[in-house]
Amino acid sequence: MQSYLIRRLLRGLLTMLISVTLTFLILRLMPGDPTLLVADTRMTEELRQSLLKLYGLDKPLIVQYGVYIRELLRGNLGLSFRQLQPVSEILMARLPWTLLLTGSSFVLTILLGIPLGVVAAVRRGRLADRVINAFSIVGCAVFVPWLAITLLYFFGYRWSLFPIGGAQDIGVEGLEKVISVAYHLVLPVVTLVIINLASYVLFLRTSMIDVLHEDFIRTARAKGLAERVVTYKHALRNAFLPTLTMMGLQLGYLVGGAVLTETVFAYPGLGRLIYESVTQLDYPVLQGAFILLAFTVIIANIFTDWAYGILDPRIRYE
Amino acid sequence: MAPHRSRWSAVLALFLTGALVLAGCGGSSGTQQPPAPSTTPSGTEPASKFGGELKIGVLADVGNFNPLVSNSINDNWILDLMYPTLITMNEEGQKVPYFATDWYYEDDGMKAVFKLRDDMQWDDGTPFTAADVKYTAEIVQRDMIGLCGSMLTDVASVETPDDYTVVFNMTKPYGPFLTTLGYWLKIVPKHQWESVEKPAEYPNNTDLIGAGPFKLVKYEKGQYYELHRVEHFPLAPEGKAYLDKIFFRVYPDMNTAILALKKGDIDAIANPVPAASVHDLEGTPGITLSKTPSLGYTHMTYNTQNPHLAKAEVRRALIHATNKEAIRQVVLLGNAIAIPTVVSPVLSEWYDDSIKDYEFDPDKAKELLTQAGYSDGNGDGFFDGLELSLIYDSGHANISKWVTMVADDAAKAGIKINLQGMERNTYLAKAQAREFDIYAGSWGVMDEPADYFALLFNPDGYINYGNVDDPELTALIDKARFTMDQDVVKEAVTAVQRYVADKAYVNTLYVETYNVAYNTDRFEGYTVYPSDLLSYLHPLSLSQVHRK
Repeated sequence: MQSYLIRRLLRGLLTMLISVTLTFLILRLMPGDPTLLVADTRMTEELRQSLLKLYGLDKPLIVQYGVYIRELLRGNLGLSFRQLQPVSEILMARLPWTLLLTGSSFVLTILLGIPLGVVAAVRRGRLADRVINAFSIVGCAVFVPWLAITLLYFFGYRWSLFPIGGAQDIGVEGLEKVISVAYHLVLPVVTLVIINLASYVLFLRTSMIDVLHEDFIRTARAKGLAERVVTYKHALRNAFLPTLTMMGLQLGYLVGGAVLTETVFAYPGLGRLIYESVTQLDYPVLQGAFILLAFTVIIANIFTDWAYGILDPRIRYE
Repeated sequence: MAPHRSRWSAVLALFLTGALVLAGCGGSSGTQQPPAPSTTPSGTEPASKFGGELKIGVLADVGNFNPLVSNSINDNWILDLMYPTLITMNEEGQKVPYFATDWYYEDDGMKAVFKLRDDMQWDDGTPFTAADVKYTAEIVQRDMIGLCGSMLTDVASVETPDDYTVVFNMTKPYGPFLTTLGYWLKIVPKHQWESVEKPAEYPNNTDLIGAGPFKLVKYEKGQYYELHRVEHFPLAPEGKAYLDKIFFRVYPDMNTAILALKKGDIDAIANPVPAASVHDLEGTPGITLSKTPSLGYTHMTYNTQNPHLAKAEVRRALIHATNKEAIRQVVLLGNAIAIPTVVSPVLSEWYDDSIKDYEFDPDKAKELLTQAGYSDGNGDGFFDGLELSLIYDSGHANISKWVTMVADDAAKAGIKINLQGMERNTYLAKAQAREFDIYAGSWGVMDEPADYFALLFNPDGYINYGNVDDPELTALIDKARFTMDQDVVKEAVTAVQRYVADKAYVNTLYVETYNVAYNTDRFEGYTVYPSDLLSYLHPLSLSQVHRK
């Protein structure tokens, strides 16, 4: 177990290094010149050169890369081109909000998705199943900004039940702030849950239906076990594995996957920051963000593997 | 299977019904609360105009708080409230005094002088003096910082004979020097910035000291920026701004911002609202929409290095093949002013209104091309060999729409245009490298014709996208910018306009008019200045806004 973990971590580090390198190269090789965005009509060649120097883009690629890796090992993610501020500060300011948003919706999606998937499988072909199916497919297909704006329009504007965008009310502290944050969180989380629910429900439903036909389920029933025990303790536990894989994948999206929702709800998250940095060619911010994303995915992966082992003793880490 | 009570189905059915009922009720007004008033409700009229908090929605964060470096419109809305320029623009598009009282040349242009107001101060109480102007100009020149770096290349030295006079000693006279530098250079406080080692890299994101009507007190990136009134601002009618506070709230999505405006969460939106939302907002009680013209213009520039486009007849034919009025009506929905010349009609002191635009006439275009020696040998409806590429920013909604109209109309005149829409940064890079035949784009602010003509049409001009190398034109442009006599300058600017129009170097399509929305139920006193940059957000406007 010990050596397995160490090997996993080392593999994770290697993956991060590769992803950092790839990001670095892609950003610098793609067309577009960050200096052009700074001073349009009154740009001169001198100004452009001085900007290139400021951004460190005047050196040969291999030197730039070396400098970047060296600074990275010191924990220095560099300065944003646009804001002239440390990238780590910029990312850390937005990260908590993103985690709050995507974390809450992740938890809620699982809490709702698993029971719904089980119900749909158990009541297969009946009204409950059809309804759940219909909702799931709609949730899958709906266009995120449309859903977000529709919720905002009705619940925020027409019925004034929830605030229109933002993460909190300005200038509140303490308990008031906690309540304000929770209040502002409702609509964005609802949006994300509706969209993400479908995958869990349908995945789990399919696996459950498969498992429910297996011999050992028939044996369990023959033994006289209560249906509830059969469903949850035996069927679900086995059907859960593919869903667990998906959970792991979704965990990777926690950091950057809510761009559209963050945009419409004016939620100050990382997703939106990443999107803006792409159009602004802010290489350091993008590199920093991708490191964060890679890190999250790798951790999620390791977690998934470990959870697999717990759920299914047949899987061994050799 | 053991039988179950269909409890789940019942619950779900109830949920569904409830949802359907709610959705169906969408038509009714529901329980809409009135927007929260910004003032405390009282039985009497407020005795003074002072007080109140204005909330303005913006679509993006401040990227960079450094007024010398920042070039984004979002940044400028907030930074302009704090960092002054010497010259500003009035509602008629003319350059007028702001922190300067006067400006003039001496010694045939070898000395450029600004006289400053003596009653302005930084918000920490330090007086605003010529030393601040000198210091700012010197560091900008030394480190070649931002927009203004290139404006100071002809300056030998800066002197301050007294606290309110700045003298620039020039290496050679340059007519537009005072009005360009005065308009664009944001002055920073010497007493704070002299300890900054590298001003070009200074983020300036804490302890900002400004001299405008408001100062930035607090902010949270991605959420809001809070500015408070400064107690000393003589340029406001009663010695300081009326509003206690201004909040800029960030809404990355325009639709959300509009909903917030309608509900009353915010009192105004800084960014111009899309033409499609104008009708909706006009019907909203309490919201006023104003139009403000851009200070730039939208155009197609022809790359004269292309052998076809090197011929004036071909360029004229292309302009004749452009249905400008249709573009203005169909794509811009009328939110556009016609512009037959390379100076915007908004700049009333420079615009030559005698210039006639090229008529939309595909037949005339064909005639011109035939006269120039083109023919359609293979009968495919297009003149042989005449195929041109057109690059544009595919993220620009309006331009993406009208380029298709341009290509279709050009086809009617027998000209083949290949549209190449691309992502913005790629587009800028290609423009930079002059890798195109036709460039479709939009200039932001073109405020000083004598100065920008050189950038556009002189062989070494940085935005000479047309690769124009025309000695006659260069002579006219240099006359406009190196003469001190204002009458001669005006003549030359007019002459350049007529020459460029005749040579058809640029196809000037329209000056966009922006629609800006703000609440006039709770507030009044807005003044709308030209361009989306100034708009009603001009410091002189916001310092006069007050509660009703």
